Amino acid sequence: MKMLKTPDYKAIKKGINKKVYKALETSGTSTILALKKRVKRGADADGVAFKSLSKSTLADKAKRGRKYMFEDSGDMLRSITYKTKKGGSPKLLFHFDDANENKKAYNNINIHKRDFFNLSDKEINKVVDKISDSLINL
Amino acid sequence: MSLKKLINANQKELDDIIDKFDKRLEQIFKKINVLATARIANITDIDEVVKFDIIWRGILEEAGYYNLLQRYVNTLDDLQGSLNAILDESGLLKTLGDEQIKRLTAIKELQIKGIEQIGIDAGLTLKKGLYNNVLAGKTKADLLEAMAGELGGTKYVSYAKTYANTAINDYRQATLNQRAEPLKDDEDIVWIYDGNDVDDVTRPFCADVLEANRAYSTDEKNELESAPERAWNCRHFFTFVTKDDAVDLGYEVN
Repeated sequence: MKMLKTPDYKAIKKGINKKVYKALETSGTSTILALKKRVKRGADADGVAFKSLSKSTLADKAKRGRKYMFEDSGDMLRSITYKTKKGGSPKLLFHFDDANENKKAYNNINIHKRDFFNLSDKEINKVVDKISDSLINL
Repeated sequence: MSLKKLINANQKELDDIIDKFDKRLEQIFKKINVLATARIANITDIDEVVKFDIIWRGILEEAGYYNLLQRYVNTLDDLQGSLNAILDESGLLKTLGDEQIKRLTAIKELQIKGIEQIGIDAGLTLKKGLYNNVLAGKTKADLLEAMAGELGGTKYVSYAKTYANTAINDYRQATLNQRAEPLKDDEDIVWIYDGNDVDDVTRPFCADVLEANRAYSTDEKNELESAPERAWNCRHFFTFVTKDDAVDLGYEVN
């Protein structure tokens, strides 16, 4: 008669939690990096170039040695961060950690019609795949 | 030597002491900022506020703040002692009435209190700023306003923006470090230097790290993070990703 060893459920749960944690956290950080890289290249989530800045703004930025459309002090892009929800269905939420930078972003998107704070299907799928893989490949 | 000359000489010595104190206090502020940022980042619950003052006193102690104040008081006492000795020896002490001696003592007390208060105010401002930033979701503008207000009337007011920027950046870095902590033994984790791209005001140190366009190990990141070249007003921080993510993002991974 063969004795079956009871699985160590605690260890398994810990392993799952760690993999999901890593997938969520590194999806958060790498998605923000990818978004910022794309935005600094001047393209929205669909790869379409943003509406150009006015001549006076461009001249002012050039005078101060600023090269990128969404980077002046850099505060707005630096304030992009994320929250994770690990229990149940894992979730990843991107937001700004400063209310004033949130307002700046709102104005860029809704008033100046430069929707920089969005993800492409490819970017979203990458996150979904990474989190799914963390749950499947245990 | 006349009383006026003696007092002028004493004042010059006192100015030197204050100057040295200011320089040392600047260094201590930097240390307080680093220590406070790292420890305040762990506070996530309002209940932790109860423990805050204990943590804060520990930070001041560790940064050498109390030590500096004690040394300052001792130096002033020595200065006062030597002035009294000179006055006594020259017979001038006898010419000073009780009222004048009281006034001199009161001035010394005020000087100690004044200097002590500047240190306490600046320390408290950092504490409040960081505290509000963490717990009450204050904006950078709120933080800056609070710091400028608290430091108003002192020479440190010109540093309010620097303190605000540095506190926020250090807080962001501390938060990322904390998030990466459970993955510290994972060799798949690397660090990317994130923040403003190289422009006219980027420090050469930051430009070099950015332009290397590579992912850093945790040890390398820890060393670069604490480099004195980026101590104040740095617009960059390290963020962690997997090696695959770093390659996808175009960074060189060793």
